[in-house]
Parts: sequence; structure tokens; C-alpha cells
Amino acid sequence: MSVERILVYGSPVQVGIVGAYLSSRWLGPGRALELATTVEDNAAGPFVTRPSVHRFHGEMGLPIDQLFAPCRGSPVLAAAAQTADGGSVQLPFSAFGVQRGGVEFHQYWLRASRLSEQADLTDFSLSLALQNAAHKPPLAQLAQLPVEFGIAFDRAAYGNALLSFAKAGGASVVEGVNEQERDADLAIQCSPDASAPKWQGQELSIAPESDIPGLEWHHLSSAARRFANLAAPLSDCAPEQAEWTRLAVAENERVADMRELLSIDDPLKSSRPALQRKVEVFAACGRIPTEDYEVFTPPEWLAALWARGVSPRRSDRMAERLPDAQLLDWLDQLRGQIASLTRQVQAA
Amino acid sequence: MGANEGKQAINRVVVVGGGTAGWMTAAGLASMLGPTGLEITLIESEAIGVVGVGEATLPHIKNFNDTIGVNEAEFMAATSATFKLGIEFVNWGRKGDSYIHPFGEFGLPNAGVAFHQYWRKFAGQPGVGALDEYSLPVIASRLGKFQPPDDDPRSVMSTYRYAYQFDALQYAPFMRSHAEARGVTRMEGKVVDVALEPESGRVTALTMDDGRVIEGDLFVDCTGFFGLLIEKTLSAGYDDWSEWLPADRAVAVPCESAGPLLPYTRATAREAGWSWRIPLQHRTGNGHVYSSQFLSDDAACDTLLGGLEGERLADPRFLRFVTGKRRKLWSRNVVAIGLSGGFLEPLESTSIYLIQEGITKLLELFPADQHCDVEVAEYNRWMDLQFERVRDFLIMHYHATERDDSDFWNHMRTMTVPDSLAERLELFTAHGHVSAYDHGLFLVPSWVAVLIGQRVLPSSVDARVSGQADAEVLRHLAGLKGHMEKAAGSMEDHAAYLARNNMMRAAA
Ligand SMILES: Cc1cc2nc3c(=O)[nH]c(=O)nc-3n(C[C@H](O)[C@H](O)[C@H](O)COP(=O)(O)OP(=O)(O)OC[C@H]3O[C@@H](n4cnc5c(N)ncnc54)[C@H](O)[C@@H]3O)c2cc1C
Repeated sequence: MSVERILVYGSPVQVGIVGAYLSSRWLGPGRALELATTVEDNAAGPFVTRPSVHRFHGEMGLPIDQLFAPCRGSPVLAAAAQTADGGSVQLPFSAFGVQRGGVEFHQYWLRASRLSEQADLTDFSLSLALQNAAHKPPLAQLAQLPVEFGIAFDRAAYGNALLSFAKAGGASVVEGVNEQERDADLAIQCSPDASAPKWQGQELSIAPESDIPGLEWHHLSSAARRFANLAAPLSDCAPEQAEWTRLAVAENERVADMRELLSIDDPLKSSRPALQRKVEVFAACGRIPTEDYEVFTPPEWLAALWARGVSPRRSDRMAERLPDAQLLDWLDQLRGQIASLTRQVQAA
Repeated sequence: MGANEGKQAINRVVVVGGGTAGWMTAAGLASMLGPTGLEITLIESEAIGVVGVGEATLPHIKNFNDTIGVNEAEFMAATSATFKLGIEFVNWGRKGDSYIHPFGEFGLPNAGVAFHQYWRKFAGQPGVGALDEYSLPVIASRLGKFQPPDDDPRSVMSTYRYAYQFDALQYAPFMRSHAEARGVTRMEGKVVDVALEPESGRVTALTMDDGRVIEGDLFVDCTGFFGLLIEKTLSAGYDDWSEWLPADRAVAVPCESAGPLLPYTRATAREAGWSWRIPLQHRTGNGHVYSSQFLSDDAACDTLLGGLEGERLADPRFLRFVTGKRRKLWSRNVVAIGLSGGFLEPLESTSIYLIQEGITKLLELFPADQHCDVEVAEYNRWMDLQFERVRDFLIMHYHATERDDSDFWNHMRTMTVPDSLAERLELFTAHGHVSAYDHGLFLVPSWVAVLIGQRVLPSSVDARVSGQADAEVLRHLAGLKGHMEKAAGSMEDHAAYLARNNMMRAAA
């Protein structure tokens, strides 16, 4: 029986993420997986993952709790990104306030702000309150709260843990790549050298970006998941290659929208159609239209739009169903609940 | 607020048309925006009447009903409704074939590999059976059983959803009582004239045949195929899709129920189209959808009448349509919802879903005043996407066939399909992968159901399936089938469920 060989190369954490997933979801009889660490992990600071890290690890059979302590994990409830004006914005992974009657919380907040002065919208985010608290709650406690969270790991420890997992799953791990290894049926390049993600012929470039915390992890993990979900013989996979590339490029477009929103001087002047739509619709009525294959969640878009000074001219009419007094009471209560939950968590 | 500003504010909505679309829109707006002071008036003309078909729905209608506060048992009894777990397609891939497109999943994925990949590897082996034998709603459908799904995601009883089949002539009146109870004003009569503001071209008022003038800020055109405001007045234009969906006529007739009350709709492919059979509490709805290019009205009617299972209850009614959609579903201050906005033909029961989607989007983007170009553009973008994705799914039913027994099927099988569909088919036929999107009605299990049901089999399977021993997989398939059969067997008989839950309509 001939053996299909995949070579994955890049830095340890990059190769670890892709390799660990493929070892569990692709490797099998007639398949070989070689993981080559070809560059060092030079980036400073922890390696941030997004909330889908739980599913990703669940799927490959390596639960987060097993890695948390050894990889010096810490929960992340919002990603901090730089903005054009030199400032930064926290993009929370979970909704502001709570939805009510099918209407998002910020619509009620907008309405309430017209009635009386309100605390800033960001003060109604449990994610931000917990993210900014002095101590993060333990995983078990976080899992009970209505928040999504990723984990920040020590980069080297996380990379090593994933490489060990891949090795235990049957992958071979080497440092550097020799010519013979380059002859693999497919070479997956994890480092950000390529300009765009692409799978063509015997090369698949993930082209991960890392300017927003969690993005590098997202690109690598979703590239691996997508590849495994489109599994096909490597000698006969033209439709799968086209599909993988189409999806990866579409996701990159959504990331580029966010990048532009954060960096452009005047968000109302963007020439990117999907971003333009987001900005205009949000400015008009506070709704945030979504596209297929979004990477960032609606709360992250909301925080970014808000931070860039885009604010809705009106609130959603459905939010007017709540009488004024009830609306103001409800907002007070919500703030109180967020503060007391954060205190409880700190005290625990 | 300045006088001018006041004129621009949207506080009066006029819905023209009292069919399914009109009353659903009025009920939706009244439930969600009535408490904000929005005035809603609905004009309908008994003399013109309603299209009177449209009896099979999709599971999303339950969300709509729940959102606007409809009591399920009352609704079922008032509309002589039955439950629907899917659609049986007969004679589509080949004459003699039958499969059910269920509102649910097939089997369970294993180690990231979709269930249909395992099934594909062993299809044709003794005891393995058809893919739909691994779907709980299909097994329940064939047994004539029903039970609402369970919330527990670990239970096999959570692997499906359900919709309704109801009497179209009873549904609009039910929605009407719901809407009127929430403040909607109904006006009987025919709109004979439409006044436009000269500068903006916006509709300002409607004149009725008795001379009354009804003013409004926003108008919802629910006049069915007439398209009174959106087309006859504003000339929004029409994207004609009959190149891919050439059915342009239907003949419909009700008959007495025969046999047990089945929890599914049947769609049987015919010489130049297909016929429907929709079981209701008190009768069966039947119709034949066909292309007049390939079949005469008489022949279509004969086919329909020849296939009735019970005594005919009315004269056959003929309907004409052109498949497609309005170029702008929202133009100036007119939103077209229902048949006035477009029609993709009844296959897969998507029309009421598109009405619901139109209402939901209108509520989400409901403008404060007439300066709402952004909201209008977003509404149109969203609805275009919905229509286009439904269109591709419908085209696939006709195109993915081996039938070569008539000019119609030869044409459909060999026609060029939209690129978006061609790429999907290419991906699936390679190794069984389905291209997924986030925004669209039909999800992966639906594409798998129809493709495999119509004999479009991947040329080879996801190679990871070989990672498991054949005997183990076969044991797993048998176990799963047995488990589902047991679960379906323990459900209640469909008619008994309706009766026990006070969902049967009292005899007149
Ligand atoms: C053959 C066929 C089968 C179908 N099957 C299904 C199905 O199984 N499932 C599904 O989801 N959908 C189905 N549909 C679509 C479904 O019937 C419609 O979406 C639904 O009935 C809504 O129709 P409507 O309210 O838009 O139009 P109509 O029912 O035609 O209502 C139009 C209304 O406008 C009024 N009107 C018109 N002109 C004027 C005027 N000048 N002044 C005042 N009032 C006026 C009429 O009186 C009427 O009240 C089917 C359609 C056809 C043609």
C-alpha cells in the first residue's frame, strides 16, 4: 500500500496546532505526518487562543484542563487590539448586557441613554469586567458563567505539549527540513511567509496573521480543521483544494475588514464593501450585518465600531416596547449584577 | 419635533393584501411593534380573493409562531393542521425511487467524519439499506408516528425538528384574529388608485373602490402575483429564473383523506414537473406543478385527477406564475412580501419561509423615517441572498437526475446550472464533502438528503473511513438503525397525538 505523506513546517507552536489536530483527525492507515520545526517562536508574550479552542481541543481529544496548568494558562475574555489613533480597544468574546425579546442589549442602552445619562456601554460587559479584574476566576467557575473565553498559554509550553500529543498520536517530529522531507505529497507551510492562504498542487500555505491576539491561533486551527473536514486523496483533490482556498480567503477578507476598521482614519470612508455595510448599517440603526465565514463575533464588531466612534443615529424600534421606567430599572439591575458577579468571583 | 420631521416619521404601516403574506406581516408587526404606537392597517378584497394554496411549511414557522405568541394547539385546531417531519420525493432520481428529505440529521458523525461517508462506503451491502433509514424523522414518517423533539442534545430524540401542514384558507383567518386582537385595523375593498409624492416617488395614499383614501408612511405589498405597488406602481423589475426553474403553472384540487394521517408531504416527479400531496386533518391537498412549454393544461389536470387517493372535493384550479424574484424587494417606501416579491415554485415549501424571513428582516431594520436608504439596501441584499440560495437548492432537484424519459427531464438534466451550484455538485461528487454557508436556508443534511436521494453518489469516500475496521463500522450502523427504529416505534401515532393534545379541529 502506498503511503500519503504530509509535511507540516513552521514554528513549534504553529506546527504543534496543525500537527496535533491532523494527528488525531487525519492520520491513519496509509498516512504519514511529519512535523518539522523550521523557525523559532520569537514572538513575545503569551499565545492567545479564542473561545473555539474548547471545541478544537475537544475534537482532538486533548481537553483544555489537561493543558491549563502545565502550559501556564490564563482565561481570556476579550482580545486587545490597537487602533489608528494609537489607542487600543478590547474586543469581548461575549455579548454586552443580555438580549431581550430578540433585541440586542445595546439597542436598549442607546434608548436609555437618550432618557438619562448612562454608564458607558462597555460597563455592561461581563466579559470586560472579568477580563479587567485583578484575578481571573478558575476555569470551573468560568464555565458556569454566561461568558465565552479563550486561553492565553505560554507559547513554548503550549507548542511543546501539542507536539508531544501529535507524536503520541503517530506523527514524527523533527527540527528543520531536509530535501527528502520536502518531497511529501503535501507540504503545509504554517509560517506567515505567503501573502494569502492557498492550497494548490503539493503546497498548502496557511499564511497566519498575528496582529490581533487570537488571530494566529484562529488561522492555524481553522486551517487544520478545514483541511481534515475536506479529507481527500492528496493526488486527486482539486475540488477540495478550491473549496479550502475559497473558505480561507473569505475568512481573511473578514479579518481584513476588522483590521481596516481599527486602522482607518475615518471608518465611514472605507472602500471595503462588507465593512462599509457594517459601518453604515450600524450607524443607521445599530444592527451589525454579518457575512458568511465571519471570524469575529458580533460583540467584537460592536466594541470595535464603538471604539472607532461609530454610533447609531437611532435605536431599534423593538426596544421601545419596554416602558421607560422599566428600562432604566433593568439597566441599573444589570450593572449591579455585573459588579456583584465580578466581586464574588474575585472573592472566591 | 418640527412639522417636516413629523411627516417623515414612520408611524403608519399599510399592508395591502390579506392572504398568508398579508396577515402574517400584520400579525408580526402588530406583535412586535404594536406596543410602540405603530398603526397598522390591512386592506384586502374578498372579491379578488387569495391564491388559496401554500399548505406545507418548514420548521422555522414554529419560531415565528412562538415569537408572536401563537398557542400551538389552538393554531393546529384552527387550521386543521398536521405535523410535518419532511418531504418524500418519489420518482426524482429515477422512476420508482423514493427518499425522504427529513427535517433532521442522518446518523451521527464519528471522529469528525460525516455519517454519510460511512454509509457510502457500505451502501449496497446486505442490511445496510438507504441513507434515510438512519434518520429518526424518516423512520417516524414512514411509520406515521409523531412526537415533539427532546431538548437533551445527547438523546436521539433531539436530532430533528418539525413543521406543519395546514389549510391555506384557514391559516390567513387565524393570523387575522391574532393580528386584530393586537390592534390591526382591517379594511375590506379593492385598491384602485395609488398616489405618489411627486418629488420622491414614494407612495403616500391608496384609494379604494368605495372612494376611501388610506394614507400611510410605509406600505407592504402583499397583493400576491398582482404586485400592485411594487411592480404595477413602482416598476421594481423582475429577475426571471425560468431558465433554470421552468415550471410556470399549477393545477390544484383537494380530495378526501384516504388512509392514515401521514406526518409528511409527498412530491412525486411527473412527465414535465411534479405533483404534491399534503395530508390535512379533514382532507388532502393535491396539486400538479408543470412547465407549459412541455405539457398542456389538460394533460396536467388529467395526471392530477388520475392520481387522487380519495373523492375530489372541488373543481381543479389553475394557477400561473413565473419563477424568480423582484429586482428590488424594497423600493422607496414599499416592501414586497409574499408572492408579490417573487416565487420560486412550491417544491420544498420555501415560500412561507421567505415571507417569514421578509417580516423578520423588516422588523430588524424597521426605519424611523423616510431617510432609510441604508436599511433598504441591507434588506434587499439579505433577501436576494436568501432567494438565490433557495433557487440553487431547488434547481438541484431537477438537475440531479438520471431521468431521460421525457423532453422535460432531458432538458433539466442537461441544462447549464448557476456556477454556485455547479461548484457544489463538483465538490460533492468528488469525495462527498458539502460546501457550507452561514446564511442560507438549507444546511448540509438537506443537501446530502437530496443528492444521495437522487443517486448523486461521491465517486469515492473520505479516506478516513478506512481507518476503522469494516466489521466495527457495520456493527455500528446496525446498532444505530436499531436504536432509531426503537425510538421511532415508541412514538405516538400521529393522529392519536393530535387528538390527545386537543389539536383536532371540531367538526363544523
Ligand atoms: C401552486 C402553488 C403552491 C404553493 N405551495 C406552497 C407550499 O406548499 N408552501 C409554501 O410555503 N408556499 C406555497 N406556495 C406559496 C404560497 O401560496 C404563498 O406564498 C402564500 O399563500 C402567500 O400568498 P400571498 O399572500 O402573497 O398572496 P395571495 O394569497 O394571492 O393574497 C393576495 C391578497 O392581495 C389582495 N389584493 C390583491 N390586489 C388587491 C387590490 N387591488 N386591492 C386590495 N386587495 C388586493 C387579495 O385580495 C389577497 O387578499 C404555493 C404557491 C402556489 C402558486
